[in-house]
Amino acid sequence: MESEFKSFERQWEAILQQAAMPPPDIVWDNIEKELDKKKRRVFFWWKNPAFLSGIAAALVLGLTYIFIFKTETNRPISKNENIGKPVVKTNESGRNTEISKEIISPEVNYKNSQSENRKITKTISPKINNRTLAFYEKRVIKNQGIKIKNLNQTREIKNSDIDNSTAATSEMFDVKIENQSIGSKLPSADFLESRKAKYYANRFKALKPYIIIDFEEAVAETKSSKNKLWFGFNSGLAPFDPNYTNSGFTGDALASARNDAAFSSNTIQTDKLLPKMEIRNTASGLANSIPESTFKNGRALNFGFSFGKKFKKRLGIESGFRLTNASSSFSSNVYSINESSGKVNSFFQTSYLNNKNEDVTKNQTVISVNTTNKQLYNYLNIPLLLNYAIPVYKNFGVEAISGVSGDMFVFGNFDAANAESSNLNAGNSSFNLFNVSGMAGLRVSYDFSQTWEANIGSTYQQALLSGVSSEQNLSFKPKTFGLNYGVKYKMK
Amino acid sequence: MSKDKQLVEACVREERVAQRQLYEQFAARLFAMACRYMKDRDEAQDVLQDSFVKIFKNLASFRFDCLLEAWMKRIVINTALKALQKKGQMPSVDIDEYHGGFETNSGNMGLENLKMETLMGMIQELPEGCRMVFNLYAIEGYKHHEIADMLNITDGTSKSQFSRAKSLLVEKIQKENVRLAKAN
Repeated sequence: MESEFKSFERQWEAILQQAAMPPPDIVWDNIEKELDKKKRRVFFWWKNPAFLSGIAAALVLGLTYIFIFKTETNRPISKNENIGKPVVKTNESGRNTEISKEIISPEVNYKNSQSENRKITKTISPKINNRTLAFYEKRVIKNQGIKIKNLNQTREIKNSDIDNSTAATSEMFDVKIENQSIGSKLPSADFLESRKAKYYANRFKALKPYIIIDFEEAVAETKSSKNKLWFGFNSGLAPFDPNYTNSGFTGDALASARNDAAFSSNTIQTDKLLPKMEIRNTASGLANSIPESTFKNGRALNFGFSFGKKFKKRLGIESGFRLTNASSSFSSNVYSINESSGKVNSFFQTSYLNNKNEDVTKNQTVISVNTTNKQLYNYLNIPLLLNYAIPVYKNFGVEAISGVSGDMFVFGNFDAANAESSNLNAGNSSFNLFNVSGMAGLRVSYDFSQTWEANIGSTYQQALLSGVSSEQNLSFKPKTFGLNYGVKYKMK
Repeated sequence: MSKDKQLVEACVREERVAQRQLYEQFAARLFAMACRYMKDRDEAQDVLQDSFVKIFKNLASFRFDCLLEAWMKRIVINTALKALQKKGQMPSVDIDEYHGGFETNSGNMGLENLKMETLMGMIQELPEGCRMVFNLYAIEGYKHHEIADMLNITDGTSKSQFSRAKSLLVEKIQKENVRLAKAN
């Protein structure tokens, strides 16, 4: 039955089986976009240094924020903390020191009295009853001759006293050291305040029978190391990878070059049965005319001024200003000739870096022989880094740094084929003025003296976001990994 | 084959130049094919675009056990059928028309006298179901039972749709030949 219609089918098959109709250019453009999207979706984050450095920076900053600021700001309990301040009394020998403390609920009218009957009134909560009194925790803690017991305090506290912990401490508690000479050898109430020892002990280990204090560490931390400021000069030298990715270059260059007269005349006629059908010139038909673009790494040199501060024994923060001058080279065989100015630039530059001062509609694209152009980039960097210093041996130490850098594109200089090189800046090109990069590194430090330090190390830096605003899938995420060195002056 | 193999391997490595070359090599024929299945050029462009994305994505799985073009054509056909399926334009059963359709005279209809655009237009004017079956049976060379499997219809429906397509086309061709004769 099927063979009955073969003649009919054969006629159609003969005509249509090999029929060809060139699709419009937009189809390839869309396919290319889809392919680029798919590429982006396959994002191996663990292989992406920019992503990793960003994560590292965010992690360090986040942890530091939690570690430093949260412990400082989580002190609204200071009302109770103040209320729970110890009263230290020593007897004649100084051995039987009595420390009294109370832990109370916030909903308690707290009264305190002093011997001179000076009264300050403050109501923390309007209610006081048996239930709220049950919140009282009165403990007597003995610690190597130090007695802690409740003190009947009848004085009322004012708001101002509570908010100002230092004032409140002296106002609320009666600290009497009866034997000054012996008392001076004992840990003072001020010392306990600075260590927050009582606060932590009360809050987290309310039932712990002993208060453990690391005297050596406490003394060390009261030294000036916490507040050390430093200033310095630093410089660096590294290979510079401009890290351009532009998967659409070949298609764009070919599509643009087709407008040129040399390409548009070539058409191929197909089958006799398709007298009107034409296939346009194809990339495969253009011997020696495949568009090429290759970037080669250059060098990045930076120098600048930095400053920082230690806010923990080993942890510090640093910032500064740095100028970076970087270079790279670019080889391509695709050129844009501007009909108005006669200037010949690389097709890459005119099409993607988008010199806004030129009329790009008057550009003719030509694929010719390969030439190499030089590119220069100038950035002003403002890094914000955390550093963690570890003493290693005598005056030597190691510092790990991590953080982010705000990078301002000052200007770029790009070679042109037969004209003066062009200066590109954020105003006349698609380079972004403000950029962000992630940084991480290690450096070895050596203390020449108590105030001067020299350091040398290596740093990795990569832009987290593309440095150009492009609608054509062009990405520019420069990266460097090289040597950094400098000197620091540490304030006493 | 070895040239195709090199091209395919380069495409698998996601070399854009090679991908472009593969596209340039086959796009025209595949686009003509997509045009036969879809109602208009815009829909055909979408099908071609989706097909090439699938082709590049799955090229690594191509084992050269058939012609590369045949493999690509199959992807275009599947993409077109899926697109039509999404639009709810699958062939429906009509046995009566199938019986009536066998009587049509299908001798030499003088197709070679007609322009390609005219022929393509005739196919595109066919109802969706007829167009699908006609393309699969007459141009691609599938059997009715294969078409039935592909479209999830019965053999009878496939035959019925083809018969209808054939009679519609014969009618159109005759009209066109008359018009051309008058014009000459």
